[in-house]
Amino acid sequence: MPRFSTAAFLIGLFVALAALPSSGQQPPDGFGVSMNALSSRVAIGEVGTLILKVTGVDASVPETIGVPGLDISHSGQNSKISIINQTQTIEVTHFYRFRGETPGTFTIPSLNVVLGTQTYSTNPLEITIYERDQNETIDATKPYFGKFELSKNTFYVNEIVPLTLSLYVQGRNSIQDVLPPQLEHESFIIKAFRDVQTDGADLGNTYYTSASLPSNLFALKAGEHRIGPATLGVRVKDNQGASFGFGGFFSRTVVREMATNTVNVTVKPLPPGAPVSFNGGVGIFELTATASTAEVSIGDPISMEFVVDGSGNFETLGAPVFKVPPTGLWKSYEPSKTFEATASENSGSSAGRTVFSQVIIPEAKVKSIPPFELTYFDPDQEKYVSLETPEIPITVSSDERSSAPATIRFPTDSGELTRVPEASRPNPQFDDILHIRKTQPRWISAASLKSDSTLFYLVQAVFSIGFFTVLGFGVIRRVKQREFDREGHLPVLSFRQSLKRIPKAGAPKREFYHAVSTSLMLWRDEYPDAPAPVLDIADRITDRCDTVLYSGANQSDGPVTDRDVAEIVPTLQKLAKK
Amino acid sequence: MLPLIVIGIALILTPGSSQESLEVFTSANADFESGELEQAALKYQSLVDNGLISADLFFNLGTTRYRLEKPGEAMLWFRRAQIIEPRAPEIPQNIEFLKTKIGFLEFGESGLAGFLRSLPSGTGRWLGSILLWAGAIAVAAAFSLPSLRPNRSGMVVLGVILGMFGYVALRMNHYEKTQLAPENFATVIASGAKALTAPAPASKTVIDLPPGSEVRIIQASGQWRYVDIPGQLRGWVRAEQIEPVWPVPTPQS
Repeated sequence: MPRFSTAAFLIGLFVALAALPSSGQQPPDGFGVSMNALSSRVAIGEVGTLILKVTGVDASVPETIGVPGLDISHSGQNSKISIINQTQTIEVTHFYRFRGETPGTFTIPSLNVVLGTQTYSTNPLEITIYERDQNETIDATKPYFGKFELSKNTFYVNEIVPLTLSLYVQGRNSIQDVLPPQLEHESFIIKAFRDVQTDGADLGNTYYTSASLPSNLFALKAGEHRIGPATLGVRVKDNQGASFGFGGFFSRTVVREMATNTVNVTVKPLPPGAPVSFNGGVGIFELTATASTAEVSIGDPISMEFVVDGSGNFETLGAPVFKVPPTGLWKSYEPSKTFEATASENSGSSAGRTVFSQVIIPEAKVKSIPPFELTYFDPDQEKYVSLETPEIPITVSSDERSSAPATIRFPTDSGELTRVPEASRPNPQFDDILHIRKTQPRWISAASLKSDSTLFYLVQAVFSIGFFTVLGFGVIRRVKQREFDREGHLPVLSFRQSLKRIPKAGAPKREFYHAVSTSLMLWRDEYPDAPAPVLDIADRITDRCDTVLYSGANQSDGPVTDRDVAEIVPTLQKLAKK
Repeated sequence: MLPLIVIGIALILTPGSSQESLEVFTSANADFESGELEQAALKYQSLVDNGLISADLFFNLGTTRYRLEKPGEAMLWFRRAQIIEPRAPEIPQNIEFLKTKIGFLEFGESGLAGFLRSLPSGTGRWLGSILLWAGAIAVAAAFSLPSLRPNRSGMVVLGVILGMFGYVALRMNHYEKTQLAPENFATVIASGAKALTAPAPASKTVIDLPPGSEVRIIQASGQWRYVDIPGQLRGWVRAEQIEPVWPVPTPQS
């Protein structure tokens, strides 16, 4: 396998320079300037070389050459002194690096160089900057080159698109290290390159060691875009270095930079008519939901966990939202988001899992947590897909503590609902006391602050008069009653009162029947118009009393029995109800 | 208190003296505005010494005392203003400000205390006496009026229940008078005041009392006062370091 060393490349470069036609003035006195390009056709991002040759004297040359669209700067020089026929000739070769970022043809104007007392000019030079796409065939004559490949050139905003940066260096195991590549675009989010996969293959008849750096990107803006070139840096073996015959053991390494091709892409906007629950997710997802508890009081928080698995752009994916705005029933807080890549991020895959945690609070008695909805855009089917969680049954008990206001969703001009977050209330600062009062003061008398004693005592007097009046009435009545009793008047009793005075079982029999006889006498006074059957009953009891009291048949006055009491007293009590 | 009453009535009924007081008040306000704080305080104090009572006057005197860097006295006057105008929002705002700035001690208010404070003054006394009288009359009527004899037991029970409620109301009144009434409280007006374990200067310290702190006077003993201190503490304080919140002392009194 032939090795294409840097030294050989430089020798070739000088041979080529010698063969190039000069574009400048070469007067016969030995003074002259000329400028040429190593290659007048250079890809975007790649570095080209300009060679300015000054003959006759070491003149000063500009550090940069201003050409719109090209970045040209001095990168080094070589001097050569030769003596021919005892005449000394000096030739200085200046090297300029140039790079173009946009395709087109650019003209490097004439460069004026002062040699001795005269000014010499170079001829204008045309440089073409062209786009190299990813399908371009590899030029196997190059010692190293880079390549940028995108899995698709037409995709949607927020859609994850895998990409690969590859670099090739001639020779086996020639790549010692790969430096972090540079690939940026203001309209794209390009994930970091975290993995390097090395390999090797024959390209043409030359063996190249290759390194691949997979990643992915997504677009922020719709439209036509050019991505790249990426700048790749690689540390390779320097075969020109002093190895002292020990080969690679003591070989040095040098850093080589290379630019990749560009890729033109078309980014399509997401189609209109997205549902309210669409929160920016693009890909293919699955949704599951769990609640932290099934029994709460009104005002107690419930932690909802939404797990979204799938493949797509998790960065732009928002949390599921209530399918129906739960105004007045549920209060919800901003969800937190945690992403876990299920596949290796290094592979450029977009598969993963995102967990949203959200606190919701019931503000009324509800029987279930209503469905949540997550809508994403499926780029393969090119349509919006809505996922819905099932209703989760819960038990909500009353709790008067809950008085927090509900989060309210207001319709915007576009008709969509927007969640309005609660504003935090400011706390008083108490930086100073209030100023004095300047209104006319309201003087009050000390008397008005005193308790209303006069009225209080007046009311006490009224109450006491009422109390003593009632009490006096009762005392007078008692006194009169006593005087009446003292004069020999029998106390006037009612039939009911006499019933209460009837002795109980065990009392002397005569005393019992005497009390019964007296009660019946009072009953006859109170009920003179009693019906005949009732009068018969009363007469029979009276006869029995008379028998006991006045017949003289039973001289002993034994105790009255329970049976006698049970026969007579209930009958008398019934008479009282008549 | 009689002279205070007489002076108060006289001030209200005498337009000339009221006009003069208003002029002094306005002049004191002008002094305050122009930064003559000492002068303003003297004028406000002269109105107080004349027995005038006004929430505006006490509020302005408190504000002036604060500007004169006497936060304890400022708190005293704000508390006095609050007694007169309990619902004026400016006063609790200033008290809250001073509490934030000085960190004085203040009694916490229990639910019962808050409830009693929300009632009009003397409610317990009125309610208790009326209920007791009503109970007594009910019992007396039960035994004195023949028409009530069949319902005597019910009347007696009613009288006893009324009497019990009356007793509770009177106890509430007693609690309010001995624990919550402003006459029981004093405010620490001096800086560096301390509550001591005994009425002697060499005694150990119970707690430092920042100016504006609230204490409840339990006992007076010469130049010392035995006080309740917020936080279930008691100690002895020099009499000149505290001043009773109410009534406002005047030269006449």
